[in-house]
Amino acid sequence: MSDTLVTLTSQEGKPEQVPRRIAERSTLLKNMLEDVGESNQPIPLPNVSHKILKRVLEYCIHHKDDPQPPSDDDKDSFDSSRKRSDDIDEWDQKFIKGKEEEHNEELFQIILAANYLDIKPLLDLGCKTVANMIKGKSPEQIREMFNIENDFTPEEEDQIRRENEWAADA
Amino acid sequence: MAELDTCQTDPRVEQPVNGGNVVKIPDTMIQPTLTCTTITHHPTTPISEIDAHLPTELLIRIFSRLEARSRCRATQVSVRWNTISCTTPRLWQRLDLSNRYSLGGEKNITISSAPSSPTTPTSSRLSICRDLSSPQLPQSPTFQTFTGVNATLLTLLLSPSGAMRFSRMTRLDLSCTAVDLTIFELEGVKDVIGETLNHLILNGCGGVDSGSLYHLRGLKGLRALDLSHCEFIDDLGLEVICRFLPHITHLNLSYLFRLTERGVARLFRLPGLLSVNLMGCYRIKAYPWALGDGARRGTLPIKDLMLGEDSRIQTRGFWLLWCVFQFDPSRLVNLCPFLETLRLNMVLFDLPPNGLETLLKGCNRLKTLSLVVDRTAIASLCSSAAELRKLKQFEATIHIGVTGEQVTQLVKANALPKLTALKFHSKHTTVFKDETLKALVDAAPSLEYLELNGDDMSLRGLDPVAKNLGKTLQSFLVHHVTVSNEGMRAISKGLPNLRELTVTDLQQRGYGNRIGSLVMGMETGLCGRLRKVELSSHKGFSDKDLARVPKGCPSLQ
Repeated sequence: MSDTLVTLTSQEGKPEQVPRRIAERSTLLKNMLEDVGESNQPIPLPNVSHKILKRVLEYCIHHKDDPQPPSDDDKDSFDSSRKRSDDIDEWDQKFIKGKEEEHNEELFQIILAANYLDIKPLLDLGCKTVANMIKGKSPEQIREMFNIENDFTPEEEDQIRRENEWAADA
Repeated sequence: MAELDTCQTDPRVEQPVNGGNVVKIPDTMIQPTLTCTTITHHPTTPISEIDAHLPTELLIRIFSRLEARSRCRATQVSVRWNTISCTTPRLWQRLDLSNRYSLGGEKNITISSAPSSPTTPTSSRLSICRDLSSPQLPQSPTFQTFTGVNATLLTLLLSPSGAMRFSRMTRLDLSCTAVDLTIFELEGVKDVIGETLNHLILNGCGGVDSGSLYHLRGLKGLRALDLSHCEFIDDLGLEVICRFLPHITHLNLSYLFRLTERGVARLFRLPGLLSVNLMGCYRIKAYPWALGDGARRGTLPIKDLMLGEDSRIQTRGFWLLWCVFQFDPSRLVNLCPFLETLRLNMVLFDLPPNGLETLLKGCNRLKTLSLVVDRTAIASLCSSAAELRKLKQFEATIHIGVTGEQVTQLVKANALPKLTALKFHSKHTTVFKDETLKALVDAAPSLEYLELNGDDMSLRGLDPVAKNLGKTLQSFLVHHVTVSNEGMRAISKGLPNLRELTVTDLQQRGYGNRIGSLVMGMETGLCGRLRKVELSSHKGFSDKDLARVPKGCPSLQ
């Protein structure tokens, strides 16, 4: 039964067939399929473009045998410093990098799609990648990287800077 | 609070979220509905891709993956980012103003001298709470006398936006700073963190003395207090804690060399104490369970107790030479029957013959035990093998004088299945021959930390380590070993979880440059988790080899 094919329809209306097992990497689709039961009806995904859907499926296929991720309860204990690894698996790194010229654009769309489809490891991978891009950069560099406009007034900027000075470079 | 989190974000950012299309909405189309009147946007600038795509919750997710310094920088990027970041207190549960790492705590941040009036657009735009509460910074003389880290902390907590941002702070690290504990008496500070702060770290704060702990009494939520290396804390400080901070459950008092038995006895009357670290308090020679008045004490809820000295092989030694504790296991069992962790690192105890058995049987919830194993303890370890197998973790430090035969006895008694760390008091202690080591790794499959001297071992003597401990071993320290190229390669291939590798005084025979093989293994990415590598050899390594080390170890610090 897990070998049955499921049809997903992207934003553009283009159908994409995948084994059910692959589709079930997405918690959203998994729940949907469980609710619907055996059915050949295509599942419309109006929030995901075809290009991004292909990319997301590429990820799901590569990770088809991964164990389901544990739920992330951030239990704070007194002695354990928060363990959160920044290392990204080599394949994942290559995957998320995608094509150079439209990197950011595509990255954000993958994050959105992962969020919508509820694929936690992919969402984490995307967020981790963006976080790694932000790390170690000055506000100005971050703005430049993402084309963000500095919309503070000079007084605001001054105040914000003062409020965040405690973490400035030593 | 959850409501605040969502409703306070700038409404400009919520619209263009869309899964597929690149939506570039010019600013003119999305006029803020906030009460602010003037916005200084250039009307032609399109909204950036990241802002166009990612809704608040995803940006928060990304921010939560940043460490504090980067998050602070991200907070300064734009109004949207600032608002999202500063109105999400769960991003700021931990505040680190310590000087231990690169985050600077001693930067002088002067309180903004002329806070903008709450009616100006400035204050209403940055975060909503600003126009609700007028800046009520007490401009009193006492307030302005605070400098350095104290001023920083006050700026953060007492500004209206900070009060929101840090309203869920649970952990505050002020290590190695000139913190003045009187700031915790200020009403504003207590209002923001008094209920939520439960872990305060004052490691190495020279200005903290016994009396000043009194100023913490307003922190009703405080449960864990780290006073390690605050050298002026003495028994009086423990008295203050008992009287004014009675809800404390976790205390780190390590390396407070003014503490005496008297203070510890007082401390042990704290009703809820669960964990106490007394490592390096070297004035304490006898613990309450060794004193004569044990009869009138009840039982304590303590789960974790740490004594002795925590140090690495290079600096060990002096402690053991002159410090032998009196030990009365039956009294300890009566006093602390609920112990789960007992660390007696690097301390020699005057253990009666059946002492270990009494301890293990009496404290039957014990999960972690670490102790020094000296010649005389071998027999009792062997006879308590069944109890030792019930532990989750057993850490042993082998004292001088223990022989290879005695280690073999432990192996034969099946006392070591839960052994997680094997250390040596002196790096010159040789107990291992090839077959001893093989027997050990067979008998102790959960070893995470292994240290050994390879004097009596052959070229391939380390092979069993790589073969059997591949899944568990995290730290491997070898001294004076001779290893062949294949042996080295086996190590680098067979131990994928290794985080720390120390090879001191590597012996080289013949022409092979042994370390090259290890490095080769590293380069292929097999030692991807290695964080720390220490190598030394009489003959030295070639620069070429050393230069290749970082290539293969992406996690090296």
